[in-house]
Amino acid sequence: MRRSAVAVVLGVLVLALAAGAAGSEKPGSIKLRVIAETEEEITTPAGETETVRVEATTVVPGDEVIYTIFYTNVGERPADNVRVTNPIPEHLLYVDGSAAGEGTTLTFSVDGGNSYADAADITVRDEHGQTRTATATDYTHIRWTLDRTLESGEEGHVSFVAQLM
Amino acid sequence: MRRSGAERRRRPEADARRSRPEAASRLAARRAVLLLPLLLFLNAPSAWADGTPSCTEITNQASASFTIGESDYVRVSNTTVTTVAQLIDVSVVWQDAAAVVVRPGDTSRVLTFLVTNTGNGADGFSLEGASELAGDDFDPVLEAIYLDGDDDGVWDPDLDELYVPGSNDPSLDAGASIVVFLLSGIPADAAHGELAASELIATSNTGSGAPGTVILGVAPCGADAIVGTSGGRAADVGEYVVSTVEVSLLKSASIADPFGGVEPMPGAVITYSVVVTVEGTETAEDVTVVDAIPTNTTYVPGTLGLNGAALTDEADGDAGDVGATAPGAVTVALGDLAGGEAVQIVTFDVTID
Repeated sequence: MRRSAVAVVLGVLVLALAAGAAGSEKPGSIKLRVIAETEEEITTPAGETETVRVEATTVVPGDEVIYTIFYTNVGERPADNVRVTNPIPEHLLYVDGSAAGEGTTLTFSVDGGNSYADAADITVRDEHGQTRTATATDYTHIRWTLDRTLESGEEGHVSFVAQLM
Repeated sequence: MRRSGAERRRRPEADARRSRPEAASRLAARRAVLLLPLLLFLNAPSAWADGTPSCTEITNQASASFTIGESDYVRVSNTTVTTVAQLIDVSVVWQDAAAVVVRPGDTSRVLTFLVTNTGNGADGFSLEGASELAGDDFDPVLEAIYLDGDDDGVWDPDLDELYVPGSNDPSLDAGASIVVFLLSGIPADAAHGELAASELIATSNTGSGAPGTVILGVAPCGADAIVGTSGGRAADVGEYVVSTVEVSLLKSASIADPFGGVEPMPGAVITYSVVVTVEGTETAEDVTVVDAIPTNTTYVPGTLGLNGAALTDEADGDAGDVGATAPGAVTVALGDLAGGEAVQIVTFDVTID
């Protein structure tokens, strides 16, 4: 885990450098980049087992994919009302409790992204027409709403985990 | 030495088949915080048997909306593409409801198995039988393996296909099954009550080995294949039980018509006789004869008899009744009969309506 945290920090740094180069292209814009990863166990030369994240080029049913979305204000002016939205990819189910994003408020959609609400407030109708609270597998979209203004040059990232059916 | 059904189910192969493909999913490498919801899947059999097909492309794209000044904007991210690799898994399940009853010296006795491709891509499977297993009383003599060619679940040497390893290995789509028959002979010196086990083993032709083993580029789209929890190889054990007691029934009828002849006409009386013979060296327990009154005939009250002695028609102290134990039938309980004991003869009359 320590290593993957370092990897994320490195990734953000790389992105920030890239953003700096592209920052002058538009007066106001947010750049988004998403990566898909899986975790794998490797054995170090010292014989210790470590968990590392690798790009998710291939997966098998049961595997979990970690999606991380990096956002950067590459414009010169501050951005308000920033909302990052990601659909749960087809064939995958959202892993309950996995969405993360510092300084954001999480909402979910169960209707293909038409409406969003706090997890506790979303209901779906079951096969008998009865209303019940939605569960992780009902979600179709995740939305992270930034709690603050994203100043020029600021960046951050949000993430979630989904399991291949 | 007998192995109960419960013990059989505790075999490692069976355990592996019932657990989630943990190694294939590299679960052990996952964050501890994610383990809790996943534990719910641990007891789900063949959790991924209908998993996403191999070579499916999983794409993802995020978007962001924001306001700068008075203007609203939407931006989208790059798109990630992840390809579903082939998961190699197989299960074998013995299908007979109970140990197959055989006699010493029998040949071509059938154990029935179901082989299922529990992976997510088409695969071929090699089959083999094994009979020299620990924990049983003797070893059946393996004769042949047949594939259920006519798909009826019952072995038929004319309609089903003799399996020749490497020549007609069954090819199964993801989730598909085939019934496989394992034929064996029973040694002449097998004794009454002895149990014998035989095993059918199915191995993926795409690959097998330790769960998690990656086989590069073998999926149809060029993606890798990964060995699932089964190790790409599965087996199950079927059982024979030896019986040296045999009960046979011989039924005969004689007709008396109202005119002193033997014509089967309305009003004629048919006298049925059921002769019960027990052969062998053991005792058949709780032998009961149940014989339906034929349609278009009527039982003649008071004619039920056993070995020449009358039995009442009611369900009472004697061995027989008519219609009480089994509606529309005569029932005679003969109890335990030893092999070689004198024959038992049940008789009753009906009239043709």
